[in-house]
Amino acid sequence: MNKQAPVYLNLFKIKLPLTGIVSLLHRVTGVLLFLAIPFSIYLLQMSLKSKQGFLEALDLVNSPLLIFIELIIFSALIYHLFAGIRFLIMDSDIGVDLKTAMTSSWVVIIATVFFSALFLAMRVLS
Amino acid sequence: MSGFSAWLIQRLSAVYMAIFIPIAIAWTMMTDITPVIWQQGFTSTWVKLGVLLFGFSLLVHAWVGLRDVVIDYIHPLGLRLLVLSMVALFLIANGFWFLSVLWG
Repeated sequence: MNKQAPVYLNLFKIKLPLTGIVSLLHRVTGVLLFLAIPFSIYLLQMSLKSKQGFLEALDLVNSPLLIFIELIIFSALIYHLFAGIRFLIMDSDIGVDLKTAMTSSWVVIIATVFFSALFLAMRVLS
Repeated sequence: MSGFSAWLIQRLSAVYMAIFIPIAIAWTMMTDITPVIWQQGFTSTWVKLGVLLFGFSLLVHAWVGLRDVVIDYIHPLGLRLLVLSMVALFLIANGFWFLSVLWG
């Protein structure tokens, strides 16, 4: 085997079209949300244990580091939700032509940015 | 669980969560949540059932999704089976933990 043969697994050298990026990000955010499951259950458990537990959970979710992590998880959730709805609509053969698929890709991205900004504004400025 | 049934379960769970999440977010934004309101809410059987169905949807949805990702990117059969079993174990453990939180 020629050792000089290029192996194109370098993600920065693979040019994905926007619709491909939307699909890949749907997977990445899905895995991220999967990893967030135990932390969510932990917080729910803490908040339901007692009044004290609820207040401790509230302190925890309001700590600066956690707000940053929540922003990432929330953005992933919003993205996954909108991209998922897009796929559900396309499953029913609606908007599968390239032009509409590009437009809906942008809608997913813009909605994610908008709701993430809203989340940040409400969590940090309040 | 494979083929069409996995495809269908993925979408049914997605639809339930897509309805549940905006309602849950809207509720938390409209309610001035105190420890009492929060904890009393979780004593209602309807709330528990709704949240339970959400948790169940999330677990099966995550299973189908992770399974697709693992099958697409991990090709050696042994490693693939190992990772899949770890994902399954992780989800089942979280499922029981979630149940014990709701009905503990």
